[in-house]
Amino acid sequence: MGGEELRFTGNWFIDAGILGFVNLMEEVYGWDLEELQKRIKEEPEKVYYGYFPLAYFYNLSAKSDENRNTLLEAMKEVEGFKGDKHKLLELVWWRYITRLFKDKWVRSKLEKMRKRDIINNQGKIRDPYSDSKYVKLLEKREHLIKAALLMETKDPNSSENIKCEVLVKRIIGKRGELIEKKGAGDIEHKLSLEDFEKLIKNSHEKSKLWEELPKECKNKINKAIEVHYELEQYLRERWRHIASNSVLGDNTKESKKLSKFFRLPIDSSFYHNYLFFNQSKGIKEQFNAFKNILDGKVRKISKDLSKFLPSDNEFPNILYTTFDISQLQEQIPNLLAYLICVDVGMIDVNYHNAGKILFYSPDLEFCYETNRKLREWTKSLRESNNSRFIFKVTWWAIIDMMTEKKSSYSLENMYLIQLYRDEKGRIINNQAFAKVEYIGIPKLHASILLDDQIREALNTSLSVNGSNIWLLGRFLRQKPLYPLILKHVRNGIKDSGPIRWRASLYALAIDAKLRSIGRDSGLFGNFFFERPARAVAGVKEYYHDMNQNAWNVRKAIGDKNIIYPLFSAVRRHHRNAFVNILLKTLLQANNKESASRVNSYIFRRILTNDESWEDFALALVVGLAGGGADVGSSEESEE
Amino acid sequence: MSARVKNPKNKEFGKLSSSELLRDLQRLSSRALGKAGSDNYRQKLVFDLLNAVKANDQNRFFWILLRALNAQVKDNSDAKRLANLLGEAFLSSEANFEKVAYSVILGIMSGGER
Repeated sequence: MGGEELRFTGNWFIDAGILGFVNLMEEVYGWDLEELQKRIKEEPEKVYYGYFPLAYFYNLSAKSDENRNTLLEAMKEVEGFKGDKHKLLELVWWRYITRLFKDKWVRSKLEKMRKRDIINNQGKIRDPYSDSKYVKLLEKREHLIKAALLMETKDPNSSENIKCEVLVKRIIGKRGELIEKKGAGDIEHKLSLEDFEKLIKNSHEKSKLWEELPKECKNKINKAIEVHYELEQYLRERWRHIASNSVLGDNTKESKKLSKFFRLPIDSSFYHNYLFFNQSKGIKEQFNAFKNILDGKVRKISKDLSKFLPSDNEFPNILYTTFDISQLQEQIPNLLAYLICVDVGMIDVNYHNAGKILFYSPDLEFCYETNRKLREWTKSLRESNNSRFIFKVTWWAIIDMMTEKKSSYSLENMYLIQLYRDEKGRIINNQAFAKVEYIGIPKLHASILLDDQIREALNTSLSVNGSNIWLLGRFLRQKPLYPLILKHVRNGIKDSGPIRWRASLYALAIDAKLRSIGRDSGLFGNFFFERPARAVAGVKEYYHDMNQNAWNVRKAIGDKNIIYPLFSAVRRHHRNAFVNILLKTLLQANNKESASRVNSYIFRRILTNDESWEDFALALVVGLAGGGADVGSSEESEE
Repeated sequence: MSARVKNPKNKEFGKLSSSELLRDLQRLSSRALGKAGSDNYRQKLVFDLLNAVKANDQNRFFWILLRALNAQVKDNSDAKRLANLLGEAFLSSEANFEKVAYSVILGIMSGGER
């Protein structure tokens, strides 16, 4: 049976999960969206029950060559597997996923250096450590370490008696006490696994400090090291049995204990207690919980999956029952698999003050490609606290995408979702919004933006009052462009700086078009719905007219002195003065043909146009004063 | 060929300076005065008119224009039509005066091409 193609749902949280799913498969297997869709279509069960679990847990495991090799081996197994999907999941889980966590599991057990670390308040051994031989070896190691630290010897530097503890502290470079009195003659050591490993290293290398230790102390520590190795060896052996899950047996008390002893040390900063992440779950329960997710057998979700979901406390008025997702599951068969990938859908921004971000638009392909670019670029961001920069980089990515795909619907519905970091710059454990910024733009703007020529012209920075302003950014924020061009031209006139001809004229053309549309009424009429399509044609027509007449006025008028009074008239909105000055000068123009064309332009675009005459007037000033950067080619002018 | 000028009498007062009326004014000015006299004569005429508009002196503008038109009325029917249309147009407000005046001036400057 063929699988259903991945599609966005319109709900940002579910879609972030779908995006996470896509990202995960790409990160682990290198499949792009197209390849993934193909595989889902051809062999959905292999994807969801074989490749996906493998990728999901590989992503949570330590990155090592050994784990990479395990993954490659598992991929071959999945590739050639023929049979039931649950059998495939079992195979992948017990043979490969467990192997991915072997080292982490062993270490998590070795890290417990004292018996106190593994007992509960009632003094009983806690379930994850409930193995008699393990406990015995752990106690033995603890006892030997304590004994070694409490020994006394002569200080090689002062010939006074000192405890071995002091010499050990020198070896491991620690200041605090290593021995702690617990009252009633009970004594505990405070050595961590890392400290102990430093001791092991020194003993192997026979360092100078190590050699200063008295013989008995050395012997005790060497014995503790032997026990430590034995413990490690024992744990590795025990773990090997996992691959054949027979070790877990049935639902007996004993097998439940074992299950907890073998719990996979899975940790995610995003999901704390959800199903298989929950600390109380044993390996068998983890497996079943994960299987239920793939089978869609979880009927309700709540805050233990995500803080973004409703809870009884926050919504007492609506949540009389649990949040049932069966309706959603009918529409989205693998909903739960996606929901556990939400965090992979987000991008970690690796500079201070920015946490995880997600660019969201309701089109999977557009969203996926944009986020991919965004991820690449944010990798290189450093030490910039300017959240505006995120906005800009996001738009770079979007614009990059737009050269390949045209999607005005997506452009209208875009958000930047940002989650917090704590003051240390770490992504904080609970899922909390820093902000959600709506960055969509109206259809009208979107359609203008989708035109390659216009976009290219606007995608530049203009020098205004000593700083560079990104013209496209202004447009995206739906700010009027005329004031910006006015300042840019003033800059050019005053400081003889370059005036960007093409960018300025396109900006003025857009401004004029938007002003003329602004007066259109008749919402939801045919005219309203046809607006976006006509807007681009309108902008281009205006630009063409402005461009030609900017050239004509340039040819007709040699006297540059009129630039100042003309500009001043535009700035003060004096149409009368502007036309008067210009006509007087045109009266004496040598090039009558050009002057005549400008006359016609004045009548059509300035005199009889109350909405946007300033845009067209300023275009003529650009023609007279411009000619610095990006001046239009003469081909564009009317010769 | 004579131009068909819509009768502005029935129009609302505010619509006098609609682009349609301005286009008519420009076309008629072009036909009536665009080729009147020499280049120098027309240049001076336009210059005087421009100064009148600049000073917002409607009377002077009207006086200069009608004097120029008077010389053309005999053998130019467009000059009569323009005079009629101006009669209506100059009853309007200040802003309209400017538009009307510049339409006439641009018509003259276009040199009878329209």
